[in-house]
Amino acid sequence: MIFSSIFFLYVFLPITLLLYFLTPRQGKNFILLIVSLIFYAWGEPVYIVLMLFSILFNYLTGIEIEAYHEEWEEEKAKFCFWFAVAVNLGLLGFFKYYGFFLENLNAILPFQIPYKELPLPIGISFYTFQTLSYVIDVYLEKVEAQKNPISFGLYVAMFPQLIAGPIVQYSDIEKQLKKRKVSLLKFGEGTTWFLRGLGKKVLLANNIGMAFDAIAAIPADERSVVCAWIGCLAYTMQIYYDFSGYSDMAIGLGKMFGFEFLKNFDYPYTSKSITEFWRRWHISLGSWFREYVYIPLGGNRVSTLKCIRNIFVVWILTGFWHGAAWNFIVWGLYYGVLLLIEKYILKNFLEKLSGFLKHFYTMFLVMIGWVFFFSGSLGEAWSYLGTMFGKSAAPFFDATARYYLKSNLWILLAAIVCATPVAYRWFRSFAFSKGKHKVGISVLLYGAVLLLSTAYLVNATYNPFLYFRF
Amino acid sequence: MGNTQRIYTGRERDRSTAPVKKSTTRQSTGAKSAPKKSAGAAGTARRTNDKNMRYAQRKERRRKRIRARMRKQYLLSALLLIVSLTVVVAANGIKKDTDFSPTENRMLAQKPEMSWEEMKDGSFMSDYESYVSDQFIGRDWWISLKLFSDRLLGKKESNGVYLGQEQYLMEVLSTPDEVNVERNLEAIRNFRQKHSDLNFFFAMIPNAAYILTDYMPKDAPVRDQAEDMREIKENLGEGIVFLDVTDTLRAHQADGIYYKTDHHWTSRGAYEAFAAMSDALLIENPATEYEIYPVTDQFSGTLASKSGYRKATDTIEIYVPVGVTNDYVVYYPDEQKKTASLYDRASLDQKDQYEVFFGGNHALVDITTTCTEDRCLLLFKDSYANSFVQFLTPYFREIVMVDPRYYYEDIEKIISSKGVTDVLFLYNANTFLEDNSLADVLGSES
Repeated sequence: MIFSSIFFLYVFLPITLLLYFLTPRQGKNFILLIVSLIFYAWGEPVYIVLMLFSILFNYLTGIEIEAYHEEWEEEKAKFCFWFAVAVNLGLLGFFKYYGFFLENLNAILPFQIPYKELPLPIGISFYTFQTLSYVIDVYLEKVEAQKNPISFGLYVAMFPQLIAGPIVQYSDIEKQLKKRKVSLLKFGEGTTWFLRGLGKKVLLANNIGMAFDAIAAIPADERSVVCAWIGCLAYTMQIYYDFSGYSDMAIGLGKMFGFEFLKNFDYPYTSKSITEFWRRWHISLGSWFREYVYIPLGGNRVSTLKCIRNIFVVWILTGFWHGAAWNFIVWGLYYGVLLLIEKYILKNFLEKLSGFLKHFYTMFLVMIGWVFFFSGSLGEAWSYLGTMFGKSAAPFFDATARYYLKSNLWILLAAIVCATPVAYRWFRSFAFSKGKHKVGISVLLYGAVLLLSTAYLVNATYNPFLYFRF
Repeated sequence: MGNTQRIYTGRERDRSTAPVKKSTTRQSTGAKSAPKKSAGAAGTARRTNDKNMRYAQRKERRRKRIRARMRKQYLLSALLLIVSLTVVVAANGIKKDTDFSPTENRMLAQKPEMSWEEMKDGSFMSDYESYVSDQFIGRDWWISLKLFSDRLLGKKESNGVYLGQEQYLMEVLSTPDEVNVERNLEAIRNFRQKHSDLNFFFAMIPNAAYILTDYMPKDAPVRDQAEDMREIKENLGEGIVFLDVTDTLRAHQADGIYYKTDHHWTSRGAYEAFAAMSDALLIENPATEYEIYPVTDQFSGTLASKSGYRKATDTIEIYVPVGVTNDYVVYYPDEQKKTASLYDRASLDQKDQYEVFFGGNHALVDITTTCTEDRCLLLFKDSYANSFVQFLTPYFREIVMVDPRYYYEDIEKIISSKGVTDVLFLYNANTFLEDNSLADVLGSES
């Protein structure tokens, strides 16, 4: 089930809200856990077993590690910890990377190992990272083990962030699981987040996505240079609105239930460097890797050579996390290299550039990065990049490019404006400035978003969700 | 998170973009006389102090106002969501489920039965989601709202349909299914070799999006069907007359040769094609005069349903030749039904009025006529041929229409028992390029 669907909005959500708010406070976690499990089972009726196993296993492991710590049995705690890490990563590896691994193994081996690619359990990449963060933090004694299985289950399975993040670290939410404020005011704040996210996903991402799909479907040798760039721009916008819209909806739903999640996106396309971009894009994933991979490896407090190694490790893993294919690894490496170059070579030079050039530099590289991301394979990525830089025989500009530019002009402009803080800042200053009815009008705008999104969803023939496969 | 910070959550974004410096300048522009220079005489210092006070007060008031309005916005938003959800859920609960959507021309999903098997493989869930979406309150209204907003955005396509000029709707052209096209062509070649004593004709009718260049949205990318046709012509092999009506149809663009709301050609289109190919079909003295009867002017076809644009309506005409004997009996073996008409009046009362021709597609239709010419035509066809056959009846003593998509019998039996003399393949390009059934009927193995 995804949030941007008629079923979620007008069946699942009302029932859930009703149950949640009718239940007295002591029972709220339990109700939320039950609906979350139903939410997951709705899309993955078989893999719910995997999720339940994961909850139970990590719950018991946490308690066990803590018990060993208390008895000063560090060796046993260590063993327990590594065992848990191995099981968690093993499950993720098996379900996500098994097909990829065998495919590549078969390419090297003189004989073939037959295999069947498994369908990816939705959200496994996200909830595995959450359980890992818990187990690691318990082992490092940063947090206490959760004794209440309902609270722990809720941490892993809570449906707002279950299938596409943000990746919540246990320490950020530990207290909220026990005690949080649920109020109408917070519910309303959550509603505004949710509706902004819904609009981003349904009105912007889906509409721009259609342009990208149409352009991607043009045979490579007929795609003009401008057309390829429009396609790339369309994807750049689609993936941002798709994912950040989904994160906003998750944050909004969280608030409705009284939870506070950290924000996941902070206007990444206004960045002035790649380093900054990654501080603003998918923040929860970045912090996870920093916290649990980069810093344990020594971070940047080691020799330059080791630091370079650390950065590469983090970025190869980041790429690989996004998908079991070589183009994702290259995409990760691409950012590793860019970040190193910025860190060690371009640092002083970049600072001297004008603001506009910095933006241009960043967006240019980010867009090229997305080509690796959206292409089905490395070969396709190279050929698409070839077209973008005039390496193919196709013309620079053609009628098709004009057609797609013209028929998507407004939506692209809207997308570009909304990717900067300008639009939302304007909206707020309008709503909160002096003058009558302004707040009312702002709420009506939210209503219009709900209305239009419903219209698009009722009519949905096209409603992909890009981050579903991670 | 403290209160002050929460008030400025929106601003936080700006702050984190550029550190503190920027936000102070922003605020000082808010209060124009912001004190900057503190150095100076004691008097100015006091004045500055006063100003500082007033500035702080103003800031405080502003903060309070924003806070109050934010609370109001949140409360109203909460109300908005609660009311909207309640109203929609209640309306959906009260509304009775319907079976069929006349505007969309399709059966709507019904409430699925719950069963363990279907829960396990997830089909119950996806069926249930379609059910909720299909039976959603005011579905037609939502669809038109979406189309209205699409139009505002300047979209030229809707669900695989181009929104052309003068309310022409045209289907996006399909990309050939190479494997099946090759397989079908090979089957045709073999079939021709096996029956080299028969006359063979092949006609692939280009589609509206390719022909009606004057009505297409400007610059819309269109597949070059002439290229597809050239390729097919080359691969058809010897002994098959290739009938190309592209130029004829193009010349009659303005004459309404395709329906505006449907993916078929009109009788007028079929007529122009027939006039252009009658010589090649070895028809002597074809009729030149026709009585034209409009049978409906309220036709809203498949493209209207598919795209959702239902402003235009089409007229369906039937053409009856004048001055030739044209009596026949139409036999539908599957239904065991015989009639003396090519037209099915009952179809005019239903949504898809194009079915007025033969009541739609049938695996096999057998038309025997009073024509004295000893020619028997075997016609492999799709739905485009349904409105074309009305031009053929005066010139063949028997016409056997086979729709390979539904036909599973032995074709050889028909050829020998009926004494077939001519074979015509008549398809529209979109169907032929995606067809995967012709080869099986022709017997690709032989």
